Amino acid sequence: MCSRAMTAVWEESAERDMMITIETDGTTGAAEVIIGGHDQNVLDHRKADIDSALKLLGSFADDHRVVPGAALTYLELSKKLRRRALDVWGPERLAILAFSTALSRIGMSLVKGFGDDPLKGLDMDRLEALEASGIKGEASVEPVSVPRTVMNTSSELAASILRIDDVISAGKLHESDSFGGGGGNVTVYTTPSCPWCSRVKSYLRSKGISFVEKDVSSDMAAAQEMYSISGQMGTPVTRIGSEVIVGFDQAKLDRLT
Amino acid sequence: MEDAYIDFLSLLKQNMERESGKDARKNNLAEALELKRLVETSFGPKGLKKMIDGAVVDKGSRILKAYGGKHPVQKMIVDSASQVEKEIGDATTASVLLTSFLLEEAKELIEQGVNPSAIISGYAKASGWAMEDLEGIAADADPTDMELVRDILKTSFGEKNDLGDDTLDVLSSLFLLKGEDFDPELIRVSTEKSHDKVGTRFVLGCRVDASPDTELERIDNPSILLVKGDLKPRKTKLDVEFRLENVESVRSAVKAEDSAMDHLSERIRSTGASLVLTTGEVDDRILQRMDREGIVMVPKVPEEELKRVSKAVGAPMLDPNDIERGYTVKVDAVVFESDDGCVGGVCGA
Repeated sequence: MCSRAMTAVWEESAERDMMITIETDGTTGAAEVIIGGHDQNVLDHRKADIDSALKLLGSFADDHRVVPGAALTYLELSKKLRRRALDVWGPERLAILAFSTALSRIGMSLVKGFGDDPLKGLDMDRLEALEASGIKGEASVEPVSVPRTVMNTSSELAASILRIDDVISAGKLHESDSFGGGGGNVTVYTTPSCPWCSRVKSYLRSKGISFVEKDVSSDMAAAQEMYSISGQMGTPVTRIGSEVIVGFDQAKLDRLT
Repeated sequence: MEDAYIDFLSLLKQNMERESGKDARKNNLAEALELKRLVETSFGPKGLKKMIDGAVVDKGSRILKAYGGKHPVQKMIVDSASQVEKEIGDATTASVLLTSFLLEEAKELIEQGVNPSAIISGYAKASGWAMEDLEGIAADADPTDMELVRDILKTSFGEKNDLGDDTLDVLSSLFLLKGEDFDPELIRVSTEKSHDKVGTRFVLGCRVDASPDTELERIDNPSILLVKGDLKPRKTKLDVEFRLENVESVRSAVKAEDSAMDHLSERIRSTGASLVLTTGEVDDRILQRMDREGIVMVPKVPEEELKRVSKAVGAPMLDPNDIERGYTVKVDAVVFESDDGCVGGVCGA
């Protein structure tokens, strides 16, 4: 019944697709960031990075204290924790020392990520020298919310995993095959010039869904296939299993993916 | 107690697998560490990229998203990493790695005979202390310092993500507009496939993709009303059959419907709105009436986008039955631009 109603609306809608901009004097803080470029893949990645960067700035707005970038902070915290562990006896001390080791390992991984060898016995002085020599180009700072969230999430998660002593799962617990999500099951029929096709593709990518793209402007067989499953020639058409979606219909995409 | 246990077991179907006790813990740790291997080398500004399903993936969060996790414990870690990403937009790899390191260290202690519950309580204490120490290290920063904002972005989205100077400029300018009151939810990011417009730019104001029922290109100083739901007269509860016995009964049926339309139109008009954005559909006859009144209707605005408008301009999202109880908000202008060649979300049909 729902789908009949949708079709009815579909046929009626001879409306133009438009972009509406509600202009305000700039004090509201509302804005649109537009990324231009030729390659949709690059654009999608860049969009995801900018979305993330905006969130990071949001957390900086909430708490505008900063700590030295990544490695330095974790190594410093590790050192302090090692000292504090001396006040505790028994197996708990071992656990606190283990926590401190984990923090220093994350610091070392970051150093590795900067392209420097994970030097053995790297100490604070050496790290400060690295910073000063501008191995990263410029001052490195991050909002205090970053290491706070990392430490909070990780320690809670590690504890809850350690608490589990029973795992029950429908299907196989240990699969040896690696990547590939639910890929192969989703096909998107597109033309290169169609903006809604890009919307569908970037939406699927944003949800981490892999899909096969068929360009109906160059592939006649794909065009025929699209016509036979959807009964029309407009793009985009998305096929998910046996379901077919014409156009960018976010609600339906959400429901089927 | 025993009954509960039996019920629990009866939930297990034949094709399900189960592990318990030491085995479960050991395997959980092994599966968790499998994820570590996956993201470890992508960590940091000079980290390496991965290829998943033919696509090159650079960031830990994307690697995890594409991988998804096979084992329940891996799924827990991936879920929690995406939560971190949602909260702070960064450091997903760092949290997966720290979780793995904590588990690896714990594994060693367990092998040495330390009780897991002692490790859990030790970790809780350690994490509390590390949090305290972190507060000690943190320094107050000036949220109006452009250079600082750029440095923060560069630290997290440095060389590898290559945001580029134009993007850094755009993001830090948008941040400085509001400083402490900066709200990332008010900013929409869109892409534009183009050969001549390469790079990042921004426009102020709230943008929405929708199909307005108007030929106008611009309205100045409109009062906008936001509605969450359909603008249609309520359906009668009973199935009434109209017998077409005479002209009079047809006329009265049409009249009754007309008066329901008039009533709803009057309610919309009485709010004083000149532009109505709604998430739902608008009855054609309402569209006609509104058109005569010069009120522009915009049906089927995605809810997420209407929420953003609501937050940005400070107008409430109203229930269709309650529009009189809300209020409209005046904005500077509303501009309509067309998305060429596309109708109702389909291009080139």
